Amino acid sequence: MILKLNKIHKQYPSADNTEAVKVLENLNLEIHQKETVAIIGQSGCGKSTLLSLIAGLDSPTTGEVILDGQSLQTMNEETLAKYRSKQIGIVFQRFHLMPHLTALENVSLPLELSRQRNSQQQAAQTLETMGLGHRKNHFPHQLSGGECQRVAIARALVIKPALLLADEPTGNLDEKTGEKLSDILFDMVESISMTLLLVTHNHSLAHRCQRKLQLRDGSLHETMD
Amino acid sequence: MRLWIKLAFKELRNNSRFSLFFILNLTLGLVGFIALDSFKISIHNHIQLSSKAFLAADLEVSSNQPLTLQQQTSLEASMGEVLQKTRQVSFLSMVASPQATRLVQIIGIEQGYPLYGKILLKDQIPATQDSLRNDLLNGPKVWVQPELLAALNTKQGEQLRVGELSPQITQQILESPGGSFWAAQIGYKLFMGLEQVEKTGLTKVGSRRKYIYLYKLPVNAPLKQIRKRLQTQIADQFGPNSSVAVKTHHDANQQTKRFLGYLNDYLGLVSLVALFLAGIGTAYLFRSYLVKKTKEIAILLSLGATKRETFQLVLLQIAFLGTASALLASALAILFLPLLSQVMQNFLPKDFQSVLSWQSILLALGMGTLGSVVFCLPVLVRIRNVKAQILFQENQMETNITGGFSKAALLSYCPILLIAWMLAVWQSHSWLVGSIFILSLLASFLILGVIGWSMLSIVGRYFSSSYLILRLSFRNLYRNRVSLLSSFLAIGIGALLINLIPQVQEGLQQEITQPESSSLPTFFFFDIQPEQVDPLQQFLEEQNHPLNNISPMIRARLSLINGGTYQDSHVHLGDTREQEETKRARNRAYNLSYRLELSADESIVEGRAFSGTFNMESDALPEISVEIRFAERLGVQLGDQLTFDVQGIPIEGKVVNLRKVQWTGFQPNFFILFQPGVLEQAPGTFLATLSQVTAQEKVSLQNKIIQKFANISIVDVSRVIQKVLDITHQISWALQVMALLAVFAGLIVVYSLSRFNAQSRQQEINLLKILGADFPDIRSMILLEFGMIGLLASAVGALLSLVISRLLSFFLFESLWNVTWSLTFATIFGISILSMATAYLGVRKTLRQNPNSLLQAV
Repeated sequence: MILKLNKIHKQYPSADNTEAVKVLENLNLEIHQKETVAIIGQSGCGKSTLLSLIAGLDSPTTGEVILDGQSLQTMNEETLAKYRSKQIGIVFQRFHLMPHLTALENVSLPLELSRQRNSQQQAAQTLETMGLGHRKNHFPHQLSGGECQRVAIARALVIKPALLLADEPTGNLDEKTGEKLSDILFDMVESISMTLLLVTHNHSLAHRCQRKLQLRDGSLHETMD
Repeated sequence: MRLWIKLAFKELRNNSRFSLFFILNLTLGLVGFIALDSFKISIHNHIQLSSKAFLAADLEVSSNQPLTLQQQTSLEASMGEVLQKTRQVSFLSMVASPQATRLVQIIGIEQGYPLYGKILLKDQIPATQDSLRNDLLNGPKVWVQPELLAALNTKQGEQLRVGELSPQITQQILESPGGSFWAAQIGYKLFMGLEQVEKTGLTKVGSRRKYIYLYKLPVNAPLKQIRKRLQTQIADQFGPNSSVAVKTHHDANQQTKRFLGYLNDYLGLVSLVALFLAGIGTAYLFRSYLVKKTKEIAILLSLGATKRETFQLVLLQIAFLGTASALLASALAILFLPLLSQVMQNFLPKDFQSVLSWQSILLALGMGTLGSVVFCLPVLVRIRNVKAQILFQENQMETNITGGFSKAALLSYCPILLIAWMLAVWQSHSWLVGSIFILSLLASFLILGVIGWSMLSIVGRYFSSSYLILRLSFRNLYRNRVSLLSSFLAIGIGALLINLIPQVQEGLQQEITQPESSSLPTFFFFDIQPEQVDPLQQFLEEQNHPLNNISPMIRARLSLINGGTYQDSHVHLGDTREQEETKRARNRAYNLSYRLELSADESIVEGRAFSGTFNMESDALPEISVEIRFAERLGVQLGDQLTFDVQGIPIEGKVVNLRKVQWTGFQPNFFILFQPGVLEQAPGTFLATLSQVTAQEKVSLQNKIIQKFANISIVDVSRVIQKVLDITHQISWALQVMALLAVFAGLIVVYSLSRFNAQSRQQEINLLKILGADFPDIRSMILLEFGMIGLLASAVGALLSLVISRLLSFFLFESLWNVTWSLTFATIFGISILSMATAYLGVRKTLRQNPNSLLQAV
């Protein structure tokens, strides 16, 4: 088992500070190694909050996030950052590339952050695998939406993370480009043998995962369709 | 670390516009700072170096009577080791050539003079001790200023009549010790041998002779202690009211020091304001940059960077930009400083040298690097608020960094306050003035904050209009009042600082320029005996030149204030400039006068006019009027009782008013005036002026007066006044240049602020455009909002600057202050227009852009 969410509660203070807004309630989840899991749910149901908690970017009000046997709640900010740089890859819906860095520099950045050697070669190789070898010296504003997302995926995968989190990875792309991209994503996940947790509205993308969970009323429910 | 350095530089290169603006902003402030600070240090060094040359000695003992050999030896015993000594006698007297007669300052010297400094002769040749021995001191010979030759219509080699002697003019003097660089000198200088002076017979009659004994002491001699010892000894030996006085070279040249002190403080204030403006501009530019960087910081955090690392990244960038600005500023200051000296060369001492000080450059480097970090700290600490989860959200990209006030955010302002306060104290050389400046700024922040918040709330809540543009603008102002308050504060403080320097400058300038109402005199008459007043008046009426401003003058010494003696009138090392002035003022003998009406150059600032002529039968004390700044120096207030010693007779009076005198009117004015009916019987002389005498009439009229009234001293002041007026014009021009520098720095800051504000509205403008709003409507809305913020903030800031400039003028510049509404309105108008114009350009750019390009993100 790689990821375990134990009785997670997450609530935010309301705008008028009267009643807390409960986003996640008694949420439990277990994901095993090499498993691919899709989480679907309506807008505002707490999908992004859940991803933030799993990535260690936010902490639950109560409950525990255990990744690879280690509770994220016991780690301080710095250990958490270092852990993230080695174990977790994130793909965002809006790509979020560094605008002043080239594709190659964007991909090599996480390697450099975790002080790994040969970062340039590894990054170039990953871009090559993603079919972007010829675009490695281009800046994000010189790339198409599909290419930007491929760079973002390459950036997430280059550290060979134990867990890949993807937030609507095809949400900003047209259908054709989205399909192509999901092929690449799943091929890569398979080839690196990593665990994938993706959040999406896209049912066909969700269907490609081994498990499909629906986030409803603050907790996760297995779904078969 | 290499990664962070690489990233830092890449980001800066990618944001080249920000980097350039940041550097430009800070450089401008630092150039002003380095150049003005170096200039101030140069002034200070010059004062130190020139004071010995000014006095021509380390120590001087002077007396109205020659000291006996025994008296001299007794005083010298208190001086410790004396390396060298020389004597001098100085007095005013008329001298004549066959063609004309002039009032001249006769200086009798002996071998060894000057102990410091030099006498510069014709063709810039310095006089040597050999030339003194072989020429001036060898027989009846005189050295004179070239101007005297012209005034007497004679030339070198000719003879002059000096008392009973007819010495030959053998040299012309270009410079000599004791020459004040801008003081209007009464009478031309004439040097002759001390023994020859005795032979003129002039030392036996007449008045106001000064016998001076000059001493050269070892380099490390404790001058202040020696002076104190001598003062005590003089008081014991000659009595407390004797004319024997002692002064060190530190005490010399007070007038120059006072003037340079003003200049020093003004420049300090300008450099401080330039630096503060640069600091505010830099912090705001950085804020706009950091808002844009929020997303990138979040990405780095999501990729595993720690908060400390992202903090380091931004810190590195500020430090780099700050250092680059300081280096550039140092280079520019090297070019700018000679220019500053050039601008001021005409009223600075001839041998003044401005040198770029390493101390200033090091300080600027520190200010550039550390100062920019400190100024940006309140924004920098908000990096802690950036959370990577915003990357999962759509609309919170730019809101995180500008969040509310936390304890850390409030604490982050402390280093700014501390550094600002230290700088202010250091620049003003006074804990009091520096603290007042900073406290005033702090109070202004508070007042601006309260007024800004109230105005923005009132505008939105109570001003609603059926006109869409107005409604949208008012609503925006109200709803965005939290974020708008910071720009309101910054623009307000910017306006305050921009208006501050011109206000102070205007007060100083008005003080030194000639009042329009007064007519400049041609001649000043001294030593008119009481019985000569009527005949002289009558004589001049016959010549069609009525005598003006006839003023009695009685010499007196202030002995008591409110019945008590002042215990300690000696200036001490730890005394502030204000304390020094008070003590010096109390040490002097004064010329008193009396008149019922004030002159055209005078006005009562506090208290009431004289009640009339003094009634001897009444129990009340005679009424006294004191010049306001003199009263401040003396520590005298309305209602105080002053006792004067007039030739041994105590005369008491009560201060009933404080007067402001416009000295540049060049009329006979006095620090202390008595009401008529008190001093009439006291022994004294009269002063008077004569105006509108043509150049052709001058010589003949002067000769006629001398023939009839031989004892009256006549000084042609028209040339001196013209010289002073020329110099004041140059000073006022230099003050204006400095003020413009501060205004220019301020306008760049206002531009930066408005540009940042306009940028932050880009998204909203774009959405309005997509929603189909008319472009002119969008433009009007933005112009209205920015115009209102600019107008309200600059109006409050400018009004506050009037209060602060009044305070600063009171503490720094002896109340030289005049409110100048035209300048204040120009500041308010200028800032509002600049704010609107910058916003307009920003909006125009956004309106031209493809809406999709703004909606797209990478």
